Amino acid sequence: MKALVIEDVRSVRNLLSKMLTDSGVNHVAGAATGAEGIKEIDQGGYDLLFLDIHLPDMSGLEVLTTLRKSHPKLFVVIATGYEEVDTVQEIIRLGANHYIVKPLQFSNIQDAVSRYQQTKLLEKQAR
Amino acid sequence: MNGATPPWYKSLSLRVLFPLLLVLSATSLASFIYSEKLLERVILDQVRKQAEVFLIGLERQIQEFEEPFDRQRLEHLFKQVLQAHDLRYSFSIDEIYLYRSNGEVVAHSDQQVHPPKEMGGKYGAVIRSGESYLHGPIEEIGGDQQSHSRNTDIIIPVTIKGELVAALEAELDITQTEQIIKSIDDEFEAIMRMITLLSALIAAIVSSIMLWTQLIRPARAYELVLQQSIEEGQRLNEAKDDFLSSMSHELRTPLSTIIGYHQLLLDEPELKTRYREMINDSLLAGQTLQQLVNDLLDMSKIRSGKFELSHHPFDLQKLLQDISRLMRSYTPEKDVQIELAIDPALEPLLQQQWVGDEVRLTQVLFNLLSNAIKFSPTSGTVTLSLQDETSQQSSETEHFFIVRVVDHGIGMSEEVISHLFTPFEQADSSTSRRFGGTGLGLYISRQLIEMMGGEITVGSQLELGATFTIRLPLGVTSETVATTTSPEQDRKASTQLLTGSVLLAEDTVQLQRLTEMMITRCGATTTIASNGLEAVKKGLEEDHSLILMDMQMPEMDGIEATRALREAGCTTPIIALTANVMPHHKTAFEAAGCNGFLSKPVDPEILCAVLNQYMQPAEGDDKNDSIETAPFTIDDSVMHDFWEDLLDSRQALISTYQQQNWQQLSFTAHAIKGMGGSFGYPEISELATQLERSALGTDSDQCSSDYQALDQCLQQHNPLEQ
Repeated sequence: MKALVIEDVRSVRNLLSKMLTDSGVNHVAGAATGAEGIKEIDQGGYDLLFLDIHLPDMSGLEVLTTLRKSHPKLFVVIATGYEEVDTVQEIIRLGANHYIVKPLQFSNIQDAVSRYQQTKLLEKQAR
Repeated sequence: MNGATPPWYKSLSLRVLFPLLLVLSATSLASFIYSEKLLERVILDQVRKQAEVFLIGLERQIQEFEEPFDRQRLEHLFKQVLQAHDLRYSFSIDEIYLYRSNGEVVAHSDQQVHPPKEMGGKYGAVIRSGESYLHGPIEEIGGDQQSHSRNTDIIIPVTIKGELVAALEAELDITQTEQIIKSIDDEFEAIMRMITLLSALIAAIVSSIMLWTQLIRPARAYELVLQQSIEEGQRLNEAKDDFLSSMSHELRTPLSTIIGYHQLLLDEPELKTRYREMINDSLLAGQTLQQLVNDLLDMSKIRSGKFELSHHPFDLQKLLQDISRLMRSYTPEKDVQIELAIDPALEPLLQQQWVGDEVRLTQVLFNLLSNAIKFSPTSGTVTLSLQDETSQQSSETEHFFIVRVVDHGIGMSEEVISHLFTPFEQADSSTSRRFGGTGLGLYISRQLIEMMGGEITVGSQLELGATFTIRLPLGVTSETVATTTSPEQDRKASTQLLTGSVLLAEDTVQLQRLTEMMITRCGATTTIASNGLEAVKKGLEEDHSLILMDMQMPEMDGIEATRALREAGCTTPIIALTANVMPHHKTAFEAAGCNGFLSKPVDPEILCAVLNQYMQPAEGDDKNDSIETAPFTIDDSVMHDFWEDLLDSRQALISTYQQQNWQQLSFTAHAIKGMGGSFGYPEISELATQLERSALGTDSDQCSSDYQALDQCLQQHNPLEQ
């Protein structure tokens, strides 16, 4: 399992990475901007993406839209602030697989990872 | 009895024949009684008539003849007169006398000399009144002392030219006449008798036919119908119970689906409060419905006699402890205290296990305790106590215990208590509206306790509360209280992810999905088999860590599939999923080769505990070693990053504020908010939230005070700032 975290605040990025590792993700990488993140994903090998909505160069939703076309199987989790929960519908419509609400809670991260695992299994069964 | 028009003979006999015959019998009976009197009158009337006729003729003759009359002449006269009038007579003349009004005998039929008749007496009366006189009949014995005759004396007035001048006396022998009339009468009587008898007979026959058709046959028919109705009622009742228990699966499955998904939804961390409330209410409604369905199914099972109690050893003290603990968390908002009072004298007895139906006893206690809580005031106390039975009821094989549930609630009146254990009745309709409930709980509780060989009684006083007392025998066993781990204890155990695959053999699609979700929640993968045959195939061909086998499936049920797998050499642990947790079922499962069982509807926590028993935790980093949910700890290096970032952020905050770049100020505040929240500094997060808003607002005073507050807070908390 390989995951990428796109988050501009370094400490938060590190925190999220640690939470992911503790949730059972073997490899976690980080990117500070949307563009960086897109480049990293395009290099391939990623199963999971954690994406903050607020990025310095573009909105997380833009990143999502871009990546969704080229990486349909990528499991994308959007991190939103509490007051942005109303945009969840929009987020899902654009192709996100899951969302977590900030402030970050470990249980939410764990849950997101298990969601990913479930999806993977369902896909396997469907074959 | 059909409603068709009655046959013709019935109406005829009813309206015509019957009354007719009644009348006939009545009249013949009456005439029979009166015939004696009739006889006399008939004879005498006959005689009189004939005599009168004779005399009219004689009168004329008298006018013509003047010579003295002798018997022959007189008799000759009689005959002539009678023949002229074409009359027959059946009486013989003994003597005839003709008198003048002064008594002088004018003529007589015998040769003797007769003195003049006296004017007094009957003769005088006749002359004076002008009416004939009839005397007799009298019995006269003849000269030879042998012959008997019956005679009538008749005196008839004679008028010549309209003048009463004489009387005629004749003695008539009417013996023969009498006999003839009597014989006629006898015949008449005989006929009447026959008619009476015949009509009585016919009446009897007809009335017994009537009786039969009107009363006895319909009564028999009614009896038959009644019997049929009773049987029909019993059949319907049985059918209803059969229907209910066969519907049990159909009723329980959707309910457990609803409740299962609701519980899983409530576990979602990002659930909005509003949605959480809605789902919670919906879950409670579902649980209420589930309780009602269970109660109804229990009741029909009890009523149809198909109910079985289990007899297994259990820890009595632990049961009471568990249930009082469970009830404490039942209605936290009411804050009712549950006290457990076990008589210390029972200590030695409670070291051993007791045999009974643990599940059903728990059900009863749950019912009584939830009622007690329901009716208790806020912050009230409910006491659950256990004592020894002081009378000599206990024996070698069983021991009587007394369990009491005491509350200090609104209490009940005598009237209410008398209906308390009746199904569907509540204290009163307002109670059911206030407190809810199905009205079945107490009824079922009493049935269960009585089936166990005990009894429930209740005592109460209005406004003071109520005490429910259970007197219950439990079987003796030599097994001591074991420290078995119950699924409930394992509830707190691992929430870590497991690895491996589970083969789920379940035919109901909804339950397939639900159970699968529960399994993946624990981390394992699921393979689904829709029936027993598939289960055996997959169980043998594929490698699974555990098999969950639904015991009721089409084509091949769980028991057969388990047996087949075991016989083929499959050693994978098999857990039975079953709605029937009757003792004989458990034995059957074990005999087929199951390692354990789970009762349906499946509780996700209990399922997870069972999976944990048989499956390995997921291999991950060494950080995943701990058995318990290790609280996530942020290590020092990450914290250091946090403080460093916070330094930078504060600088950005100051500069954007000075530049009056409100947009950027808001963004910076937003970033600080995120950091503060994630790293466990809610105060930083809150202040940052306020600034984020006010930076874009119109109130610059508000903005500056928020900015200052946040700035100060950051300075204070950040160790790097010191």
